[in-house]
Amino acid sequence: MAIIINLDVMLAKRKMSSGELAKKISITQANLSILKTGKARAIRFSTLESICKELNCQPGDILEYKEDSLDG
Amino acid sequence: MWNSRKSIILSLVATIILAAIFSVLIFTAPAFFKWCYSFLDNNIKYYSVLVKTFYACCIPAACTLTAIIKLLINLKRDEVFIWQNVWLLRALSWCCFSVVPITFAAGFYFFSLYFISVAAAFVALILRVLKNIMAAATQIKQENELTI
Repeated sequence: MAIIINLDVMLAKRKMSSGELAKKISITQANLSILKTGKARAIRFSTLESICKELNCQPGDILEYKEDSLDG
Repeated sequence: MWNSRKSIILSLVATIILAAIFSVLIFTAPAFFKWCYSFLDNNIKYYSVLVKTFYACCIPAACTLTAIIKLLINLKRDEVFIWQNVWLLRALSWCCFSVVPITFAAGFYFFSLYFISVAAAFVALILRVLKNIMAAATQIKQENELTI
């Protein structure tokens, strides 16, 4: 998919574990894992808001657009 | 208290009873049709056509009964919007479609079989639409599950 989730990068920058973030934003670790691995089809504004609040960042720090390569 | 779970069990039991009757008919069809013919006196020469039509429809009928039982078992397990159910509905639709040419051909000998042919075509079409609805619903469910 063209949208890349940079959640693991932000977590590393903030020195926070996935479990800790999952607990703070009240979602399951399984759902956070789906989000981190890019398997998610969509993200709710409320979830994005909670993540930005806890990691003290902007949505653009977590979401990135990269054009899909046509070759291969 | 009557609920949807009991309704599924009733459907399952009814289907299993029908499957049992069908299994008995597979072995007793010639005798059964002969017995039926004993009440009519005419058209005895087409008796074999009726038996052949029945046996030709046996494979789609067996597949239909198996698919219905599998579908009901999935519903009982609360597995409703899954791709296997979409596939089962598709199989059911094709089973009904496969009966259409058989009964249509037999209709040359028994006019009333044309009605079965038309009914099978209608049921097949309805099942196809249901399969399309189920596929769309399964897609929506999957998207919802992957919305975090």
